[in-house]
Amino acid sequence: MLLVFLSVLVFFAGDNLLFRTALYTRFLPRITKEAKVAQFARVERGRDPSGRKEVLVTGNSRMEYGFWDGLANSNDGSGQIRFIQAATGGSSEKWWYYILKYVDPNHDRYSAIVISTADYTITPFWDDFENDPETAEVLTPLLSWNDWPAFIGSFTDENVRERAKYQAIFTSHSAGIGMLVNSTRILQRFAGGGERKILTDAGPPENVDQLQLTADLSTVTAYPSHFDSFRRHETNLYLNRPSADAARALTARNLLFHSYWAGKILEEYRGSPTRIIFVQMPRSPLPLPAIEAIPGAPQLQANLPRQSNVTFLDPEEFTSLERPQYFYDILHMNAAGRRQFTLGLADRVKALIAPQTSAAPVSASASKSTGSASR
Amino acid sequence: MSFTSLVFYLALAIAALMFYLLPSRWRVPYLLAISCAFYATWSPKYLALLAATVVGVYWIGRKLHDTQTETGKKTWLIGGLILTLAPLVVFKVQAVYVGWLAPVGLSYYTFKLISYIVEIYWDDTAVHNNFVEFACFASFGPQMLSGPIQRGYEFFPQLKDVRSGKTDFAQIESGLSLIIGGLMMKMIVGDQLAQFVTLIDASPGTYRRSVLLVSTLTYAAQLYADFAGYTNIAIGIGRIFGIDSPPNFNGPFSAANIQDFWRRWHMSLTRWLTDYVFMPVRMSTRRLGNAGLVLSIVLNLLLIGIWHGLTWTFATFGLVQGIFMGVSALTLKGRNDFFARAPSSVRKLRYLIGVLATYLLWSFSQVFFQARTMGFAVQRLKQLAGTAPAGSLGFGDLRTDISASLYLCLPLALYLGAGAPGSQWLARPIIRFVPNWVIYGCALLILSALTTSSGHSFVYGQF
Repeated sequence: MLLVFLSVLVFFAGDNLLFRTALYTRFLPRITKEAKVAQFARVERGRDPSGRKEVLVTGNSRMEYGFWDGLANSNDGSGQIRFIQAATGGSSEKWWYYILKYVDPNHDRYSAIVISTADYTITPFWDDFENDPETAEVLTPLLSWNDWPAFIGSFTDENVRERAKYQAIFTSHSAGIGMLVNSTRILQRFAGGGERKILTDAGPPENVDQLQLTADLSTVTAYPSHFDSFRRHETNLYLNRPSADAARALTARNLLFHSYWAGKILEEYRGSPTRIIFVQMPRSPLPLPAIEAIPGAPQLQANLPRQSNVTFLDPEEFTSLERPQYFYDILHMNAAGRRQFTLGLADRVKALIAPQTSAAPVSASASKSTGSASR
Repeated sequence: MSFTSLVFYLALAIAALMFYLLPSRWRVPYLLAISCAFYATWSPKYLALLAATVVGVYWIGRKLHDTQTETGKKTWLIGGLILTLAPLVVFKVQAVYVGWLAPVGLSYYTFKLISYIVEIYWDDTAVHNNFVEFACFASFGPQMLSGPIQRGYEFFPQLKDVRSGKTDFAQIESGLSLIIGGLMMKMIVGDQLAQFVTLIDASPGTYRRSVLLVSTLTYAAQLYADFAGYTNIAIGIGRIFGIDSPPNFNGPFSAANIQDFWRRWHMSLTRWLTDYVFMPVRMSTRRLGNAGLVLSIVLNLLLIGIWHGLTWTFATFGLVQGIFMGVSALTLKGRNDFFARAPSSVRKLRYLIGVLATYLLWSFSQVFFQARTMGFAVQRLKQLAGTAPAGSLGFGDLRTDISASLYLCLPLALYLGAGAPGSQWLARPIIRFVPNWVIYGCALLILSALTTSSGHSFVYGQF
């Protein structure tokens, strides 16, 4: 009995010391989502305000590739605004709800929070965001005890919910073998996979001008030279149009997810001085049949509560960037697109939160009158 | 309740505590009760079938023992075999045509009960006159899901110590360490490898031939880690209650020929089939010489194959293994005589080549074991041979955690499967200087941290 008791004691001591305090993330390179989110959240929460109007830019890898906070800040001649790039690949509104609860518990830290969406129109994207097991792995260090019941209950997949329950008790359950790999550079290099990030500050210079498809958009006939087999495979995935029934079901599921979690964020910031700004990212350089919206697809804006501190930027704002010359692959922008989008978004945000400081717009949507990108 | 669930271990802790607090005369009935309760968490509606079979076999065993004539004994033997085999055959056949799931543990308790009846037929003294102890043997919880298949004459003497109230702390601790080790083997090694294999199997046409080849070779290692991990957990749980089970694995990947492989893989089943199928068939075919030997071997392994399921894939798996073993059996003496005259370096090389060849032959036959259909198996073999197209994605296109799992866990699984040579020497300094409760606590932490995000069920639990 003493042996069992002491063993369990050692286990819980290690579990809480290493994992509940997120100590282990200090040893992970920032490229991992667990480390990126945990380190960002910890630093951001503990940071003193800069004295400027702070704008937190959230989103997934599209925003990671699309927005360069360094450029936005250096372009702000007034020095009164500070953009903070917080986008993380694979994240969703569910992640941001809990991350914001952690870093901004009083809902008054930021002058604005930018929430990016792939499309205001709900599309039949196939990923089950609600049951992404990575959600629990990444968010575990940020959740408070009273967050756990609702967090566990939010998973509709029984297996994922079960795992989340374990993670509530044993925080180490969130680590995964990725932790072991990512904690040593040798293993990283050896096991490096298809998610290699090539994102530098300026962004990747390549574009997808060379991407050629058949007329019905079902098959790729030529890939850009910089596309590795992983990106080729990913491109092909986006060309598989789902059946009408599947598209409707996926759209309904995604509407439920996005409206629920975006709505929860808005609820947290109801009555707050923080302006919540929704932006539709440049979607893709060409139509993607797999995620083409169904006829009469619902709009996110129509399914969210109306609040005076919420702004939806014009969905046509950045459609002029939906061209092959601005994209690195079918989803993510390249250096040229990144620059244009960054400057355009920064100007739009400045106009909303500090109109007296904004310069004449030098925005990608200046060509709005010339119509949207060719498809 | 699965062996990998937290609820199971909470229940196990309570059950073990109560076991040792009970007066010793109640411990065997208590073991029977918790075994039945455990079974009921899996197949409550088939608890009645288990109970009926146990009562029937016990009664037949007594009759078999009491009958004096050879004809009478044969009659009771056949009756007992029909009683025990009928449910197994019915469920295996209906699984092909109707698709109902068989009761959990049906195969394993059937084999135990058959061995009990046959042993009485061969040797009167094998009968056991205590129904509660007999029922405990037949339904012993840790062995229910996937064995090991224990004989009555190995189980019953251990109940004497249980009844006497003896508490062997060293046995309990070894049980705990087996459980932790088994969980690590299954949930870290086995499940991590399963992620890779499952990913490739979901769309084999997407991946390069090299990836398909590694996936084929990995499945054998995954199966070992999963099954051996389970067995260790089962043996460990038994030890906590004072019952030691026979081993199921003995470094199968260090076998240099197929015969040796089957002496080291799923040993309790191999031993059972050898004693109750192979030997009787061999005796009746001995006049056929080598043909009889090969026939006995092929039949034995074919039975192993179709025991897994009445499908062409499992039958082909068994047949392929039977052919391999038949060829090996016919040529082994000649090969041994030839190499006996060779220098020791050549003999060592022969051993290494034998180990590699045995693993390759085993992996090749696993293509049929793993495949959902014969078409799938044939297509995989064609892709490996280069006569069917493969895809373009390579190892560099795998997610980092999946490729890392493969690179870390495959060598580990192969090392463990080879019997973990040198592990005691490697572990000695740790065991010498670090208290065992720190080792166990750290092992639990590693187990918690490195398990996959979605656990996989035990592969052999479905058989």
